[in-house]
Amino acid sequence: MSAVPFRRLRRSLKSKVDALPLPTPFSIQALCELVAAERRRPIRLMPMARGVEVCGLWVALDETDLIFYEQTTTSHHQQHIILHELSHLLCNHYHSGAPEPDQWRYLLPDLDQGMVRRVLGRTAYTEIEEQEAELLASLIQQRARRLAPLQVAAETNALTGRIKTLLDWSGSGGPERPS
Amino acid sequence: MADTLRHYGPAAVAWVLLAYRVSKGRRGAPDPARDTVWLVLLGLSLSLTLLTPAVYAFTGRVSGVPNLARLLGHGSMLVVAWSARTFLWHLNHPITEVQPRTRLHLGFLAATFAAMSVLFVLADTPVDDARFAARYAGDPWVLEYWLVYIAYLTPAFASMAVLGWAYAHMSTAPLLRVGLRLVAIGAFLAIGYNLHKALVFASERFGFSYPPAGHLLIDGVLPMLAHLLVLIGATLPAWGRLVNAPESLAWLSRYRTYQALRPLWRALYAASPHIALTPASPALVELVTVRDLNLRLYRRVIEIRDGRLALMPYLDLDTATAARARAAQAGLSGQALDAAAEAAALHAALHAKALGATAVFGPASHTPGGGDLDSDTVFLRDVARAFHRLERQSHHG
Repeated sequence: MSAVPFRRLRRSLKSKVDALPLPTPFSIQALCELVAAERRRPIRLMPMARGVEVCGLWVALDETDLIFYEQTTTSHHQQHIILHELSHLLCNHYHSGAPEPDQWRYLLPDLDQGMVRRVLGRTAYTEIEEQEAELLASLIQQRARRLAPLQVAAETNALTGRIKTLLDWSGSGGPERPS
Repeated sequence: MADTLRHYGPAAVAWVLLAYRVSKGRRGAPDPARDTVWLVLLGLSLSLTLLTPAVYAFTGRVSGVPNLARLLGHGSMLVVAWSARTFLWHLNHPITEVQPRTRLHLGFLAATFAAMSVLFVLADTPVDDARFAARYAGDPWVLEYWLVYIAYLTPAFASMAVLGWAYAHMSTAPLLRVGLRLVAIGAFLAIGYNLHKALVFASERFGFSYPPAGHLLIDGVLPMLAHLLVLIGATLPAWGRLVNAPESLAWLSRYRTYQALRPLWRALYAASPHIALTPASPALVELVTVRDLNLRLYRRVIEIRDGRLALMPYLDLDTATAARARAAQAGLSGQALDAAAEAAALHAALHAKALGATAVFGPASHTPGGGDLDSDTVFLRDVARAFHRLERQSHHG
């Protein structure tokens, strides 16, 4: 995606991000619960192991939304993958273009296909729905970070703590954010 | 204008900082090292002021002693050196041990100043001239005066440079870290300037060639810069927040991390272009793009993680284990070891994929990284730096 459509997309998503109620303290689980309560459809987060081509998958069943996320990666990356799938759900995306991903069949071999309403997977950003979900996930994460309380960089070393007290005579006190 | 700024700017900055210090009064728990900070500030301010052309001429005129400002300015620097050493002793020793030492060194200070005064009188320098060295560099006793002076200063400045740098490394507060580094650099530059000056005097006296003599940058700018760095560094923890310095430093740190991640991201992107939400920009464009840094850094971390996932079928456990053993042998430990091993594993996997190796979907293995976004960003930065070194080695090798 080139710079101009990216900026346009970003502008259009900004209001969506601002309007989204974020739980405090922020956690992906709490956000999923909020969204689920609003939609009156439970959301279930399901870890999946590497082996399928996608690293995240939203499977909309009749009454439940399943969000699969890759397990073999770091926890903040898992959270981003969940946010991406949640963003599909928030944007009410339908699959367009290429055939629907069918990886869910490996993940839920016993599930009756008739129960599956929609499937969207996180692979590449060639389709507008994927770009939108990926950017929305990133923007939600950014907003959540801005709302987070200031992280305190406690001077853990007694010696440098003393130097800091001696050299910082401004009286403004307050902790510094770690860099 | 530039000359006025060069002559009077540092002194003005020094007095503003000292006035700010005075306005804040006595703060914090009583600490014997506190007064030494005062003395360092006062000594530097006095020294900078005495060496401005106007005050230099005024002191000479009023006292009737040509170049007296020079002796007094150097006397102030002796006090700065004594205070800095006392400050450093207080940090590492109980007050009962520090007091006898500081008294002894006060004796050394008095002896040094007395010797300097004698040599000052012995040296025949009848013209009051702020550009003293240009006029009297080769005169008898000028070199001796200078050697006595720097013999007292150098050990104290060396302690400031070495310990300042070491303490900066230990600290977790960004302002203190930068402040201490500035002090260390300032002290280091001061030592360099003092030795340079000794060589200038010696070359004039003994008639050997010393080309850097009379260079404006070294003779005019270097001492001012050294003074200013120490002053600014030592006071930065106090006024830094007024000018939003912690945020600026944090931004700078994120910017550097973003740039450091580029080689790794670029290699993963080349192998799996689908990881990027927006296509790669040229390095130069990235270097000058400053807006939206938080979002761009976040994207880069996520895309590197996506790139690693895409590369997993090519990651070889044996290669990773061997790379880890090599890194451990090289003396690495902790996160540096993890990062070096991960960089080597990714480097090998990218190579394997480029050579057309067969993808193997094996059992899931542990993914090294930080527990949250911040720590994972730092981890990936270290991986990217190690990866960049490997790329350069394989390029040259």
